[in-house]
Amino acid sequence: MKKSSIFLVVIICIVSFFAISFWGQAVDNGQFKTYITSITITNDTYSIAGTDYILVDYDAEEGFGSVIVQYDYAPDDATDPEAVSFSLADINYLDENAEHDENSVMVSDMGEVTFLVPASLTLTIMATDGGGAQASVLIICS
Amino acid sequence: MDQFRTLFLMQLKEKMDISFLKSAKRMALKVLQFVLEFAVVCVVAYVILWMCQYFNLFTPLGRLPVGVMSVVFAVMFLFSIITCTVSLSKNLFQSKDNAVLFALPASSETLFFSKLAVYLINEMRRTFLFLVPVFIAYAILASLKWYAYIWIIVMLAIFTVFLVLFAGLLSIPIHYVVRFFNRFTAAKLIGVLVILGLAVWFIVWIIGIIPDDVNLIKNWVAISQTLRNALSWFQTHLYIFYAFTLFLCGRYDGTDLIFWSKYSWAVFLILIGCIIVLAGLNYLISHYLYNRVAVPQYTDSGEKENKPARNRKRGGFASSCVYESLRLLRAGGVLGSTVASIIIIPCVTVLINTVYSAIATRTLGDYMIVAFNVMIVLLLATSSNVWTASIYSRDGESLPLRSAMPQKPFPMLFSRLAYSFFATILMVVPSCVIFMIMADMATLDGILLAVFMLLICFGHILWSAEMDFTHPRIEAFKTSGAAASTPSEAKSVVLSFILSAVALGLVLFFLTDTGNLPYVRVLVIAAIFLAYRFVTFWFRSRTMYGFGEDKE
Repeated sequence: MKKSSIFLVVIICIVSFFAISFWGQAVDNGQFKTYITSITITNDTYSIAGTDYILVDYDAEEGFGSVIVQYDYAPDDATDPEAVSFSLADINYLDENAEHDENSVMVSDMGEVTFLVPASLTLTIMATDGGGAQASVLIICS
Repeated sequence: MDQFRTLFLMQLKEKMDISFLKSAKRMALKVLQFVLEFAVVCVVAYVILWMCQYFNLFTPLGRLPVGVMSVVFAVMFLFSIITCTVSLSKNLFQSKDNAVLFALPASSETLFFSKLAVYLINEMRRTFLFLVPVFIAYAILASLKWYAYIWIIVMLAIFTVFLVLFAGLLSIPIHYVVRFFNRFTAAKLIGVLVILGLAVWFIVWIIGIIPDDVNLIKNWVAISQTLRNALSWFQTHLYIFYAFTLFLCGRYDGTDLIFWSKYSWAVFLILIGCIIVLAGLNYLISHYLYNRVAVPQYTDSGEKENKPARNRKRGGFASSCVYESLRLLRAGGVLGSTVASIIIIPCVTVLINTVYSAIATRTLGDYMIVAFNVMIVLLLATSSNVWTASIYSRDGESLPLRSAMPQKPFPMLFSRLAYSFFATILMVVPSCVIFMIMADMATLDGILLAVFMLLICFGHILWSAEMDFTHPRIEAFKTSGAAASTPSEAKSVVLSFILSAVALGLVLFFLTDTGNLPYVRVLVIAAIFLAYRFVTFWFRSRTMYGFGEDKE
């Protein structure tokens, strides 16, 4: 067998593998993902100077305030609707005399924001399924 | 030097058809043919490399890394060194013309180097028809500057000199190994069994590592990452090939590709140094060993005297078939190549179908699997029969004498092909059975497909053999024996590819077509093709060797 024929056979084997994979493969629904395309925060909000915010009552006796941020996603048939993460930013402590550290304001994986001191912050919900959808809201705890 | 020139030209004239040099028109046609072949390889290589780049197969940076070319270069080097060593071992030590050449008033080293030079011309042609176009395709893809093209061509030509000298050196121990195996049949048998065992083990190992679910689209990132890791491993552990490829394709200095640098000088000088050392070693070996090693070939052939067998009466055609088949079996090389093909083709079928069965396919995919199986088995089987394109020329000077046999030309020529027909059945049928089982195909469809492939293979054999007796190259085989290669063989390789590709197209077309009995329809087309080849073979055999006489 000639060297050129062996090369040709190897090339055709590789080409056939690619061709069958690209054009002859059965459609597997699992390989196509429906991403979250939008997130909407559904908690009751107030508005101040055109900015929506969630107001959380701070219980001075308990030294505690919390809110569970609720949201809706679209489309409804998103493959992984729970693939979201919560993050906090722009934290302002409203009582300058109160002691505070990095644990004074926390957010859980379920979206529950806990305030140990009065503060305002921006909470962002971001889809982690690869779609990149996100939504933010201002939360004031006083 | 005059002796060298005379010997070189004498052998070149016999082993290569250089008659085109006498006619400007034929020379222009030859150049055009060369340019076309070069362009075709270049375009095919460019498309493959472009696809690798387009799909970001080896790097996400949207370009093709030089490491890929180093893998191509390494594979080519490996193949070339094996084929060069084996061919040179035959050309230098087992060639029929040694008997005449050693009688000429020339030193053994002149003779040795004249043979190397003739082989170098042949190897240079191969380099310019494969390795150079592939690297030129890379240069086009990587938008290298104009001088890179000249650089690549010159450096690959120098590399070919190194390759032939290296193979020349290796051919001597290889020749001793061949002689040892020829002398001790048991050792030969054990050697063959060991090689076969290793080949089977390798195929089983490959099959074992194929995952159960192959999904190229879903696992594209993982596959790409594996390829990148493999490339990185290759560049680190087989650095010598990577270093030479960097030298060929230029070294990136952060802004531009540099061809002339200290690095290039170092590699270039090492290459030239290696060539000088190899030439010196070849000279020493040819001076002290060549006479002793090559000359005994025609005084001590090691052939045993055959015991007389009982004469069995057969009809003229059957007798001719048996005689010619036995003659081919005893010729050496043919039997080994046939056995290898009979084992390799089913193994390849198992391998590719294991990969195909790991892909979850839809109906079109199933049809594509059938079509690609047909193409690959046909390509392997027809490639194994390429030697039939020189089956008559291999007789050398005795070919014209054979036309004097008291037999009609058609049975005389056709009986020579009986062995090939039988061997082809042994190559194709097991592969079809394997494919039928692995693809869960209906038995009748499998039988029809096997017959279809056999008809195409038989047509290819007839076509190749016809090319040989219409354009025999007796001179090449008169002196070189089995080591020679003819233009008809090159055409037969091209035919092999074209027929396999057409078969793939036909099978895919009829399977996807809404009409009934797709396998019967392809079978009818193959039967028409075979009938046509048979008729032309019959007519041309009468025209070429019959001279209009009725010999019986």
